[in-house]
Amino acid sequence: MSELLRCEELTKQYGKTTALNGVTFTLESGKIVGLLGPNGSGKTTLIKILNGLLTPTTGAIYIEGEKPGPSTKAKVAYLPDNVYLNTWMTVEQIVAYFADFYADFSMERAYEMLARLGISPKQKLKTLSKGNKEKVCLILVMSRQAKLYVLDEPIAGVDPAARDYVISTIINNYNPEATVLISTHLISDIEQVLDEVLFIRDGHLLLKKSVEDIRAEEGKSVDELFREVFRW
Amino acid sequence: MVKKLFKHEVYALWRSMIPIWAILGGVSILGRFIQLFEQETVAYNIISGSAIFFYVVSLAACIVCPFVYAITRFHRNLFSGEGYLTFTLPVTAHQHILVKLAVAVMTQLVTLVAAALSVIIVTFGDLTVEIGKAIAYIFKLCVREWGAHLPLYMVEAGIGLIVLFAVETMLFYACICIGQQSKKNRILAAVGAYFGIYAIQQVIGTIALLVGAEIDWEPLWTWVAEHPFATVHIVLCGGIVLAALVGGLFYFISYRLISRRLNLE
Repeated sequence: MSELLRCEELTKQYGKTTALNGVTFTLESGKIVGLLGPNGSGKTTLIKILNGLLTPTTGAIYIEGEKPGPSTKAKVAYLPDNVYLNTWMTVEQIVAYFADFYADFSMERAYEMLARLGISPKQKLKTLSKGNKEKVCLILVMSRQAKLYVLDEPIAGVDPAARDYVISTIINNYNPEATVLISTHLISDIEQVLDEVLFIRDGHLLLKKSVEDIRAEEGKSVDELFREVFRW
Repeated sequence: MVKKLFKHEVYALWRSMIPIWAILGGVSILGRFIQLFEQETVAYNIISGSAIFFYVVSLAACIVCPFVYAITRFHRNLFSGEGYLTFTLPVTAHQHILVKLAVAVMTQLVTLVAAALSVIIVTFGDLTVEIGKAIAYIFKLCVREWGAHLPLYMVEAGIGLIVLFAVETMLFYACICIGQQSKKNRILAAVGAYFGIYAIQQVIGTIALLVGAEIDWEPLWTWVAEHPFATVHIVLCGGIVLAALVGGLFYFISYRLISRRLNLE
């Protein structure tokens, strides 16, 4: 497996607050990786830097050897933790928008998933419920054949049925040669699909291990280990 | 990518502008239609007065809106929630800024044409003929006075107008980008940046005046009197170059802040 993502001594400061502190790790292709940590641990900051939405204070991040820029953005499919769509657009307009800009986007797959949810392509995004807007965002991201999927809190704030939908959409649609980086603090819901985990707290990377090793070496589930590590 | 960006940008901006242009057109036609029933009655005066009022309001809105929409679009599309999508497109910061600027300037030019057309509609008839005659007379005079220089002056003035629109738009883009560097109250910070830049411009202007007062301009005035046509070219082209330099500075500020110091909330 080849190296897909490399983080080198990544630090991000907001004034006096340090959101990330010397984070260093690498990720390989073909894995589903959980970026796990409590709220405010630095997960979103790391993801934003990876997507070029924040500039690191020091250190660097590389995707297939390149710093975040237009060429890495063509390889990374990003689902932010908020609804980011242009709400004046219709569903078919936003689908066409993605198809225009991302060469790896499949309109066919997007329409197939929308049809399964019963969302009309003619519907304006602002008339969709919050849950459906989030699902449209997920569909747009998962309709790409990206090399790296970065999903920021995809199951936070959704009901258990919707969580199952989100997880199954991810599992059934991601490019198997790609890596999926899922940030969450709801470990138990996602644990069964993870290959590897990164534990992050107060901007420090505490642990990077495969789920298999955690179970074999620690004799615990990821959820149990998380609760132990992050106990107040 | 630029073509695609351009297409989506035009759609996003013109979906707001087309209703404004349509209202201006409608009010102009209505105003001209009312004139057909001209009579000295109170009712007619009220209707005609209202039509003139609505025409002036829609004309003013039409002139202000492209500018306001272009600036709000820049802010919303780049620095609000939409920025999460905009900045994850495989597009460079240069392309984002340039396309937004080009569409904003194009919209302002189209609005100028729409405003001119609305004047023609409102004055359609004898008055249009009179205005046409006056313009033709002025044009003839200009041809007689300036000869072959006239087409060049027109091109230079046209370029100057485009550059002026672009510089004004870039000033606001730069202010928005500077405002984004603030941790909170980013719009207020952008307003502060605008007044800061305005103050700097005033200081530079004052210094230039003070320095200018110390210079002996007599040889220059003699040269101007001997070369009036060249002087106009120099003033127009010099103005364009100066404005382009100022606009370039605003562009550079915006580009650097977006590409090096982007911090989406």
